[in-house]
Amino acid sequence: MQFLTRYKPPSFARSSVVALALALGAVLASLILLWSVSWNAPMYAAPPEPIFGIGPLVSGGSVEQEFEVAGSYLTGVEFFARTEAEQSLPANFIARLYEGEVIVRQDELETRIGPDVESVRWNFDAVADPVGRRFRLQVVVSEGMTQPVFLMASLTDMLPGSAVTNGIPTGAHIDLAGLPWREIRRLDPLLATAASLPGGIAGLAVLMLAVGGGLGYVMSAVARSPGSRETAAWMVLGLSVAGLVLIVELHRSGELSLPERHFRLWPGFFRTMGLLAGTALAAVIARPVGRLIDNISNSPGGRTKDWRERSLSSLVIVAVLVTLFAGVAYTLDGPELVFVKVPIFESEHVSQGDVGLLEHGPARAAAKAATVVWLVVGSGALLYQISTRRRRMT
Amino acid sequence: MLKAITVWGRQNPIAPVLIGLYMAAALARAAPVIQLDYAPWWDGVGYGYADLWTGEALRLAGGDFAALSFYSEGLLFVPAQAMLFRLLGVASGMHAWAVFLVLVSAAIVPIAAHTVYLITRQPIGALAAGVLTIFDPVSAWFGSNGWSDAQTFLSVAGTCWVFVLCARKPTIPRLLLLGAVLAILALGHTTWLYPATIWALITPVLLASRKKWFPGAQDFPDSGIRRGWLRRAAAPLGFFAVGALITISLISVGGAIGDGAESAGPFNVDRNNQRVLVVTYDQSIEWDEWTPSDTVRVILTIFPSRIPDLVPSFIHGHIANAVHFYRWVLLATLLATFVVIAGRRQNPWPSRWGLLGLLIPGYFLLLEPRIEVPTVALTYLTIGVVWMYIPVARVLMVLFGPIFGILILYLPLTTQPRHSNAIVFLLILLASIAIGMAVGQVKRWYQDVDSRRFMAGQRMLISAGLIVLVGIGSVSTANAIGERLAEGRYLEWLGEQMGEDALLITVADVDPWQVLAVTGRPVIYDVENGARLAIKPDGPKWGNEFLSEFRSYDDEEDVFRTLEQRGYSLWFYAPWGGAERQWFDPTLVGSSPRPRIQLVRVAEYPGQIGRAAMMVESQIGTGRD
Repeated sequence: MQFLTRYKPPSFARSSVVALALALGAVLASLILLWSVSWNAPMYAAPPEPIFGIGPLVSGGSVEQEFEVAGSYLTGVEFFARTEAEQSLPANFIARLYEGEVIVRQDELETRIGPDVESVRWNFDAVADPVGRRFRLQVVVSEGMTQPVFLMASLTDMLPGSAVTNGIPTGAHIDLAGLPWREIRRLDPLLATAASLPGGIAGLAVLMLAVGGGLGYVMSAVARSPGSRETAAWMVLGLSVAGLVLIVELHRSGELSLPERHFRLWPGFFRTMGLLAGTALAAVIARPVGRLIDNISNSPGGRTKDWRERSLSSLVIVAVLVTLFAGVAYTLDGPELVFVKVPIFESEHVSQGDVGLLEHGPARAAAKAATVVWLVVGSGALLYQISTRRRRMT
Repeated sequence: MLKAITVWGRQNPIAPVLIGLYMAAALARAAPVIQLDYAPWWDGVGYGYADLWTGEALRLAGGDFAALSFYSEGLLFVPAQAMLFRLLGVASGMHAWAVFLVLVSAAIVPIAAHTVYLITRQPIGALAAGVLTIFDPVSAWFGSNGWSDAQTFLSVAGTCWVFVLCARKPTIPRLLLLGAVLAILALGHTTWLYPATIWALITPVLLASRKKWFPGAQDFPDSGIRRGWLRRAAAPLGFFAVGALITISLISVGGAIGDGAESAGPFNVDRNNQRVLVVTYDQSIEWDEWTPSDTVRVILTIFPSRIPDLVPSFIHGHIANAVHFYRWVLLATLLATFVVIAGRRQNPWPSRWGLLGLLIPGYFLLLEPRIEVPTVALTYLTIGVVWMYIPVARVLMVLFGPIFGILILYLPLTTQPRHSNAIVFLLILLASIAIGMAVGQVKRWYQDVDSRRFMAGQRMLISAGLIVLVGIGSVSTANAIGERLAEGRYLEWLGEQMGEDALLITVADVDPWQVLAVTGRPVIYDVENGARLAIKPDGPKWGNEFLSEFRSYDDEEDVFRTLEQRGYSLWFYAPWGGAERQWFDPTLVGSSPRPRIQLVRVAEYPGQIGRAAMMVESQIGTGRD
C-alpha cells in the first residue's frame, strides 16, 4: 500500500503534455463528430392529427395557415393531402411562406398523392432566426391537376388563427395540419443550441468554461499538478472533454423536437459530466482512505501493532468498501415504484437521481453484506474494549 | 468600500455564505408564489384548508379573540396574519402575507446552514445544508401556501439552531430561549406538544455530556457563582413557563384550547386523534369506549409489532420521495462519513455508544425479511454508519426520536409530507454535518501540504455555488414576474371585452383580488374547488355570501342558468398554459357526477397567439324541465 503515499506526481512537462495530448485527441474527435452531426426533426413535439380534409380543391384552390416556432433554423414545412382517385397520381403544389405580406420562401412541389393521406414535405433554405415571428403557409393546387385534392386539417387548435380556404376563414378551431421542420447539420445544431441559452454563443461559452474548467480543475487535483500552468493544461483538457460530450449529445438528439429548448439535450450532458467529475472527485477522496490503509498496514509509529487492532482496522476497511459498493450500486440502479406522491409534484417529479444501469439486486445484497460486516466489526470492537478494560484493571 | 467588505468577509467567513443563501432561498421561493403555483389563498392542490386560518385571522383582525385556538393549529400563525389584515385590509394584507411567508420560509435556509456551521465550523457544510434546504420541495410548498405548517417548519429549524447554540455554550439566556422556542413549537401544532415536551425534558441530560459529543463545546469563564442547578433546569423551566404564559393569555382573552382541556390542559386536546389511533390499531375498541389508558396500551403493546412495516413505508413514502437526488445525498453522506473514519487513524472502529447504531441496520436489514426496497436498506445503513461515527448526529437523532415516533405511530392515519418534513430536515442536517466534518478532516490533512490552495479551492467552490444558486433564483423569479405581467395585460384586455353585466369565473391559480381590480367585474374564484371566494368591486373582499343561496341547488348547470337568467353574462378566466381551456368542472353545489361546462371563444387576444376571451356556453334552454 505504500504506493499510495510514496506516489510522486509526474514531472511538470510530462503531466501537462499528457493533458494537452488528451485535449488534442478530444478536440479532433469532437471535430470529426461535429462533421457528421445532423438534426432532422419536426419543431413541434406533438404532431398534428390530420382527421378530415379541406376541399375538394381544384387547380388554383388554396389553403393558408399561420404558425410560429420556438427554435431557430426553420427549414421546412410538412402538410398532408389526399385525392379521391383510386390510385396515386402526380400532383404539383405551389408553396409559399409569408411573413406578413412578404413572401419569405416560395417553391413548386412535385409529388404524388393517392386515396390515402400522404405527407408532403417542403424543404427550403433555412430561416435562421424564426423565433418570435409569425409565418403563414399558403399551399396552392397547381394547374393540370385532374382530380380534386383534399388538404388535411386538425381540430386540436394548436396553431394560431384558423385555416383559410380560398380566402375564406374556417372555424376558429380548424387548422391546416401543418408541421414545421428543421433539418440542419454540422455547426448549425451547435449554433441552435447556443441560441437557446441566455447570452447566445457567449452563454454557451460561459457554461462550457464553467463545467469543463471545473472538471479540469478536479482532474488537476487527481494528477496533483504542482503549478498553475499545469492546472491550466488540465482545464484545457476538461474544456475539450466538455465539448466532446456536448457534441456526442448533439448527435444523440438528432431526432428530437427542439432538444435545446425543452431540456432534452442537457440532462445527458450534465449526467455524463457529473459522472466524470464524480469519478475524479472520488479519486481525490480515495487518497485519504489510502493514507489510512497505509497507516494501518505499515504504521510507522507502531501504535497499531497489536494484532487485534490491526484485525479490527482491516475489518473496518472491508466494511467501508462493502458499504461504499452498496451506496454506488444504489445510485446506479433503476427507479423504484413510488407509492406516495407529493401531490404538487405529480407533474414535476422529485428525482431520486437514479442512473438506471443496474437492477435492484446488487444494492440490496450489498447493503445486507455491509450490515453483516459492520456487525462483525461491532462484535470485535466490543470484545476488544472489554478485554482492554480487563487488562487495565489487572 | 470593497476593501472593508473583503476584510469583513474574512473576519466573518460564514456571514457572506448565509446572506447569499438567504437571497437565493428568497428568490427561489418567491418564484412559484409569484407564478401562483401556490400562494396563501391557493395551496396548490385544492384542499382549501388554509381558508380556515385566513377566516380565523379575519375574525381576530375584527376583534374576535375567540378565533384564537390551540386545536386548530394556528395559535401562533393566525395572529401574524391578522395583524396584516388589520393594518392593510384583506387584499393588500393577503399580498403582504404572501411576501411575509416567502421571507420567513426562506429564513429556514440560513438557519439550517448556520446550525451546521456551528457544529462543523466549515462553510462548505453550511453551503450543503443551504442547498438541500432551498430545494426541499415540501418545505418550499407548505412554507408559503398558507398552511400553518410554515410556522412548525420554522420552529423546528429554530429549535435545532438554539439547541446547538446551547451545546456550544449553554448560557442561561440561551437555555431559556431554547425553552421558549420549544414552547412555540409545541403550541403551534397540536400533536407536536408531546415530542416538544420530551425534547425539553431530555435537553438537560444531553447538555450535561455536551463535551463528549459536540466538537466545539466551549467552557464558561469562572464567575465564582454556582449556577449548576439553574443551568440544568433552565430549558424545561423556560418551556413550561412560556407554554403556561401563552396558554393563560389565550384563555384570558377568550381564546380556545380545545375540548378536553379542562382535565389535562393542552395534553388532552387531541383526544379524538387518540380515539382514531386506538380504534385503528385495536379494532376491538369502540369509539365511545376509549380511555386515555387505551392509548398507552396500544402504543406499548400493538404499535411495536407494526414498526417493521411502518418504518419502511415512512422512508419510502415520506423521505426518499421528498428529497431531490436522494440517492446521491445518501452516497455523499456515506463518503463523507468514511473520510471522518479515515481521520480516526489509530482507532477506526466505533465507540461503545456508536455501536448502538448497528442496531438500526442490524435489526431491520437482517431480522426483518420484508425489506426488499434498496432505498430503505441503504437508508438504514447510512443512518447506522452516521450514528456510529458522528456523535453529534447521534444526539440529533435522539432529539428527533420522539417526533419520528409520533409520525410513525400516526402513519396509518394522519401523517402527511408536511409533518414528516421534520425528518427530512434532520436528514439534511445529518448529511451536511457529515460533509462539513469530512471537509474539516481533509483540511487538517492539507494543513502542512498545500493549505493555501485548499482554502482558495474552497472559496472558489462556495462562491461559484452561491452565484449559481442566486442566478437560478433570479432567473426563475424574473420569469415568474414576466408571466404575471403578461397575465395582467391579458386581464386588462379581457376587461375591455366584457360588458357591464359580466361575471368572471376563474380557476384556482389566479390572484382573485388582482382579477377584480384589473377587470372591475365580480369574480367567482376557484370554481373547480368549491368556488371558495365570490367578490364584487363594492363588496367585502373575503367570503362567498353571493353564492350562498345556490349551495342548495341540485346541480351545477342550474346555478349557471340562474345567473344568466338574472342578467349576468358569464366569462371565464384561467392563466395561459399553452392553450385555452375548452371546458371546466365546477363544484359549486357538489353534484355528482361533476358536469362539464363548455366554453366558447368570443374574441382573439392580439397579444398572444392562440389566446382568446372565453365565455361560458349558455345554459339557458338546456335545462331538464
